[in-house]
Amino acid sequence: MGVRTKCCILILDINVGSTTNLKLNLYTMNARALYKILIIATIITSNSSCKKYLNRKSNSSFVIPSTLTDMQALLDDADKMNTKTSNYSEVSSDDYFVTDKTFQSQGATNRQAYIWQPFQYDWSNEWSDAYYAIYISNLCLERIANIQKTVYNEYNWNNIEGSALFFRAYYFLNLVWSYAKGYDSVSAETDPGIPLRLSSDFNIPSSRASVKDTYKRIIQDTRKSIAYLPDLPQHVMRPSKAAAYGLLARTYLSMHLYDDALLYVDSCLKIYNKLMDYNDPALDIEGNAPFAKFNPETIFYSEEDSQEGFYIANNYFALVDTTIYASYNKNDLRKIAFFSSQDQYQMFKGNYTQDYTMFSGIATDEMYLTRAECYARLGNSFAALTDLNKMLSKRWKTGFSDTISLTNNQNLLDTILLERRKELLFRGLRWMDIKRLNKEGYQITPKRIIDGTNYSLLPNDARYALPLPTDIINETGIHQN
Amino acid sequence: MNLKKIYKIHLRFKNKLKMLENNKWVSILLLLFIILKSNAPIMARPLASYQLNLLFIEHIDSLKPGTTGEIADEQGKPLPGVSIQVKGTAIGVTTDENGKFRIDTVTDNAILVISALNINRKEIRIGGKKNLGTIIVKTKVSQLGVVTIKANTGYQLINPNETNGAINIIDNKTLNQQTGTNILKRLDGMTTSILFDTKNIQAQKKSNITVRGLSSINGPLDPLIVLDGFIYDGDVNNLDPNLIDNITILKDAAAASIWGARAGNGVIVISTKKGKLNQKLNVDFNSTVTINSKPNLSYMPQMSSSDYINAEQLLFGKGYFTGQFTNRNHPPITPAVEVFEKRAMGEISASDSADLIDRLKTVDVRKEYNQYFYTNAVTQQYSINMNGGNTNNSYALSIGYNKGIGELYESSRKLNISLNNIYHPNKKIQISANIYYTNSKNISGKPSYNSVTIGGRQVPYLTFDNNIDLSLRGAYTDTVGGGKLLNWKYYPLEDYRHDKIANTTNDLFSIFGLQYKPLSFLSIDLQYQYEQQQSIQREYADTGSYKARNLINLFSQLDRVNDITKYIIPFGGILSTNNGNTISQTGRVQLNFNNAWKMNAITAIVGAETRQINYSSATNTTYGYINDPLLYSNVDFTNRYPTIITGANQTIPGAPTFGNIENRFISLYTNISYIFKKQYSLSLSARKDGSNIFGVNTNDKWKPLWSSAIGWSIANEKFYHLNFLPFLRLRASYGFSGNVDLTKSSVPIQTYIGTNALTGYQIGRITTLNNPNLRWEKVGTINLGIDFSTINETVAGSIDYYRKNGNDLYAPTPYDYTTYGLSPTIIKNVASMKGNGLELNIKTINTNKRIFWSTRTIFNYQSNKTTNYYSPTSNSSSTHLSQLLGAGKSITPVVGKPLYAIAAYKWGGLDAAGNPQGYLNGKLSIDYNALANTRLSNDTNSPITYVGSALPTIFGSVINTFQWKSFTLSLNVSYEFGYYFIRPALSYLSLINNGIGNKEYSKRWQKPGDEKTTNVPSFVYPDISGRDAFYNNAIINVLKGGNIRLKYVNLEYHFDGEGAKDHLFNRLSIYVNAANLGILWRANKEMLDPDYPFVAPPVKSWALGLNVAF
Repeated sequence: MGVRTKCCILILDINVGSTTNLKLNLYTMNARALYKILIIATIITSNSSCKKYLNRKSNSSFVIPSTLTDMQALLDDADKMNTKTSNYSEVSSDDYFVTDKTFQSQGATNRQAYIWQPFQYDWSNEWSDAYYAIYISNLCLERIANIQKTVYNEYNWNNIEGSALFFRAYYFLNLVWSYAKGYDSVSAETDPGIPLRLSSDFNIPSSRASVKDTYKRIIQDTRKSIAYLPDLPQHVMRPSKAAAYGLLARTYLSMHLYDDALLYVDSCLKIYNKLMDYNDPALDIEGNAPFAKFNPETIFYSEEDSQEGFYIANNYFALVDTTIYASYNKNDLRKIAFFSSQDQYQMFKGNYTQDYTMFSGIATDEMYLTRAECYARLGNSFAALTDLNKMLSKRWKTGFSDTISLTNNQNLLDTILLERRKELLFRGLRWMDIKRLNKEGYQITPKRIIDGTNYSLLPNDARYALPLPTDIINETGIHQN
Repeated sequence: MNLKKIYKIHLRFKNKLKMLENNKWVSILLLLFIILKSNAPIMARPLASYQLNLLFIEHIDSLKPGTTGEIADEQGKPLPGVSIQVKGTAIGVTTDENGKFRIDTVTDNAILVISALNINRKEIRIGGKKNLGTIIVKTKVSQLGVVTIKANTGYQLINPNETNGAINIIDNKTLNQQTGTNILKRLDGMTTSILFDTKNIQAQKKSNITVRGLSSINGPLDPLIVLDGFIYDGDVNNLDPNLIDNITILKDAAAASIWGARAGNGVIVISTKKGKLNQKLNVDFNSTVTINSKPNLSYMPQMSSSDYINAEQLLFGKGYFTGQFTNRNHPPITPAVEVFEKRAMGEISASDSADLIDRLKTVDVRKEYNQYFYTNAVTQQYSINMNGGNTNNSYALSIGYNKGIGELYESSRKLNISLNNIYHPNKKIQISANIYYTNSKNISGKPSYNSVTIGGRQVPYLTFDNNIDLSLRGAYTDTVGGGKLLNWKYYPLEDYRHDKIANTTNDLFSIFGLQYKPLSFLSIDLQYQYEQQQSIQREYADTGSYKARNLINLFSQLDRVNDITKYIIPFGGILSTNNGNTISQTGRVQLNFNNAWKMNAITAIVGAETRQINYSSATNTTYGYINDPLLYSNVDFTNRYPTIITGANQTIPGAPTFGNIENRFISLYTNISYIFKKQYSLSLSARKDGSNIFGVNTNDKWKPLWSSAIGWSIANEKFYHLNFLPFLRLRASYGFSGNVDLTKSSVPIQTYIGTNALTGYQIGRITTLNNPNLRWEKVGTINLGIDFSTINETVAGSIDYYRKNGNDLYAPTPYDYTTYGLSPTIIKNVASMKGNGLELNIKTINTNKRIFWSTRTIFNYQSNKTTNYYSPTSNSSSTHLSQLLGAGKSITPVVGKPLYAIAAYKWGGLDAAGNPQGYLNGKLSIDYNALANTRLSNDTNSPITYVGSALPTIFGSVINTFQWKSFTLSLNVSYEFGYYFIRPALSYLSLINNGIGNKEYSKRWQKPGDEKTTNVPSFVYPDISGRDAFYNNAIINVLKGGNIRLKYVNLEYHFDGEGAKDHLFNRLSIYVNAANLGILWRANKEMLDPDYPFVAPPVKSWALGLNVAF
């Protein structure tokens, strides 16, 4: 408004100034011609209306996120939303080892992370990546609040609201698994968790919530998202009810709350329970990348972040732990599908990403194993065995899958946990499994040997909470692990 | 009061009244009335009437139509810019571009003093004539051929001697002392304030030219280029220097602030050649051929082949390459390592292996490059200018044609046509059209040094007569297809023939103007500018190219069972096109007021302008393309296909992309200058800009900028008695210009970046985090200047001192990225910087006898520093001195230090094991991590120390011109002092991981005792973290940049004058120019060119030229 007035005043000035001049002047002149010019000038300058003129968008690809389409596009940015789960937790896990030479060829951060020394790293990293996904979720949640839900946009509106809640919880859980100690109901109230960013306003300072509050928030958001999400998504890169149930199952499992975990994993499998049969000739299990991206087992697709530590845990270099490899029966098709030999060792090729990147999403095999574990822990051995056998029958050569029948509950649980390990290699779950199982007295102690020197990480060591980025500590002063 | 005098005046007055019949009686009655009514003593009455008379005289004079005339030289050529002054008064005018003048307030008996720097002073009595006709003046035989040209600010022409702002004008003669094809490069060494820095081109700058140093830290750094009054958005390479008449550089706020928010980095106003009224046809032909020497590749710090192979052998022995032999990606292996591997596998004997290795050790890839790829670049430049005019029309037509073969056989050709016409249908109207057209085409040549690599490893023992494993291992490409795939080898001597990039540019820049001059002192301009630049990049990799074969193979699907090969990418070549289109339009309405009366003169402009620029781009890739017969196919860019190497799925590269950016501006501006008694002048300028910066509230889009300046011609004062210095003028200015980066925003901006190949969904991303408080950058400048000239200009020149204050500068500020994540910093207006400088531009005439010798000395002192960056409360280390380690290549803001500066580790020599040592808490240390961490401490015990600026703080040139008979010799010696540079040093990390060596490997520490004679650390594997970074950034690798170089020598034979009239031409000159002749003196002992430590310095070039005027 102000601009337009000023424009017009200027034109008026020219008019007044010139007319006065004209009147005062003793020379004769063609006043008409001058007026004509001034009229043209006035048209040129004011007709375009400064404000309207300047309101034109400067870049056609730019937009201020305001419509449902805009928000859905933000959430569909799979490169940022679906491929950024923690990789340092994989680097720190014990599914793999590297040779001394590989170790030496790595950068200092990776070398330190590999042997659990406090490693230092700055932006960009999996922390910043995860919090971008959280920022997008917050932005969508704030901006969708300004959009009226109608019968016409209800599906899209719900999908965005539910997806944003889901993504935020998904990354919160992933972060708390990596950057906090394992859940312990005794100390959860005081153990530092992660910053719970719930707003897109960058002026609000970050502080670490307790582990208890972190889990509470994850559960609250995921439960809320269920009401909005469709049972199954249009694409597995998008969240769904099944995925939200799976996320809750993961959350409760890592909190040792097995009855809650069972409730949700069961809900998940009720919606979707398809398993791939490795005997299916359509699967080229001998090939370099046997499993298709978005294969039928995928409920929600995500990949581990492929920066930072990626290159050490990645299957360029990572060699599979020899004890695990030895534990596969020769009739177990996973032995063929998952591994390719590298000198005397094995490399992993069984990613559900059909690529080097590591799958960390929610899949039915994980859900079956989770339900089996919950049943076993809650004493329902029959149901546990049914689930376990159902999954294994799709993994073994047809006719060779000996049905496991055990009575001793502890043995059954151990068998399920071993099968969990064998099935879920390089899936971003092992670090959490080590932490939660050690809380229950399993003495899992990852070990590394470099140049003849032994390194080990004793159960419940403080280093199970990975160090936060160095620059974040410097900038915010929040508590370092 | 002398009564006689009073009566005399009375009489004169009465005579005058006779001519004004109408007023006569009124005047006399009035006069009598006053005299009789007056109570004053009788003696005072005449005095009163005297005063009244004067009043009347002046009143009547102001009604007179005045007198007009035209000033021309002996040849009848009109002289613009000549000063016409009424003797004994301050009333004066200057001739217009057609040599015409009109002086209004003048009495019949007045004497006009005609003067200019280049003519002999002449006095002429008006004698009541209304038209003085053409007054011929004698031009001074000034061997420098100085013609006073007017400074063009883009909005108005001003007399350089009257402006209060700091400007430089580079005339045609000066521009022609260099022969390059880039107009801006011709400014190098010819003027103050301009520095060509050879640092890497970054997003912030498109050119390497700065005017008065830097005014921004993170904003754009390029000066604004203006062509004939309007912003030029095309590529500056489009402009043919032969078609340019002169260049004005606007340096301080008073000069530049008229350009508002884009002028913070200075403004360069380029004017094309124009015709003049009443001038016969003038034809000027110019031809130049330039030959360059080949680049000196021996300058590159390339590691010797035997050293390189020995290093590879060592790494091979340690197993560094083991993983690569089994890597699923089949990375290429260097020839020597292949030999080691074959030997290790027992495939070849020890003696065969030794033979092969010995042979490789004798190869130097620089010889290969030199023999096969490099040549002497040749450039031919032709131009013809025709201009002239009659009584109501003036025109100029210029055609320029350039053709060249580059040092890598890349070819270029460029055609320029410039047409300029000014038509005066009557005295009050002027219609002008100015069209500048460019068509150019460049085609790529052969590979440049170090561009042929083995998977990025710069192998010094490559030979080009055979194939090279560019990106895949030979052993893999030999066997993978089993004959079912296309040849997967790269042939360096052949490939460039099959893969050519052609860049075509078409640029049309046009200006149409209508000027209406209703009154002699008032005119209205309506101007419209339209530019369209279309650039097309077209890369055609034909069927034989590595690029096409590689992609076709990559996506081939081998069905070994059925022996069928399925091609996802069709056979044929690949055509990639990238079309860019820039359209800019400006409309301008401007009122010009120019009047002088009594002691006063006012020049004022006020105008409004709207401008919009639209950039659009589109890329496209066509597969299966064959140009003859024309064939092409469609491919599927959406779905992913397995690649043959690893089986991983990929989409076919090259899906079409589109972009569209539109920037809009509205500006109101005014510039008023008032001159009193030709001695004191005051100028004011103000401008308000609005733009559509995305997402800002409209009211915040407006930015007012202003400046004011004063000037004082001391030499015109009565008390001034320095006769040897007839011209002395002081100037002072203060004001603001701005800087705006159109990519910065105050709201979260979402960019649609395409479709996800996996899901088919549109992808949006928040690419800019919101900061609602973003403002435009503001640069305040104070300028103090002196212009002076002795009698006959024996010594003339100007001295300027300036201070710059950049405030509200953009700075990426570290923040808690937990809040957003996608960038480590956000942009805030938190930075500020200061700069100051001194500029001297002095011309002396040393001898003016048989040999004429003059010297132009250009001296610049420039310094700047960051005064604020980030908030002082932040505990971030980002503003610490340690940021300057290894810096100097880009702007690195550290408070209190220059924007380009270098810090380095203190050096403690090598220890007994060949490890470089630093100082940790004052003690020698090889704990590199501790050194890297404690470098943050600010105490004197810090392991690092500040070295100095990385840009010259003192620079300039000395141009000597000798003239003897028809020969003119010019030499330009330039100098740069007061800066430092980092020398390329050996990094074992990049040798190991990237295969990039350095010749100083041969000087490395090898055995105890070597530490006494060398500073190059020992080779250790695996590398010690931080060791290379410490050594590379140690103070021993920072060298002083000072240098003096011979920029060019220009010898011209000039043939004109009386004798020439018998010939076919009016003037002929033949010139020889040698440029980049080398460094005469340098501060470093390593024989490095401090401006080009990492790349070969510009080569010597020789030009031969001819200029004929008909």
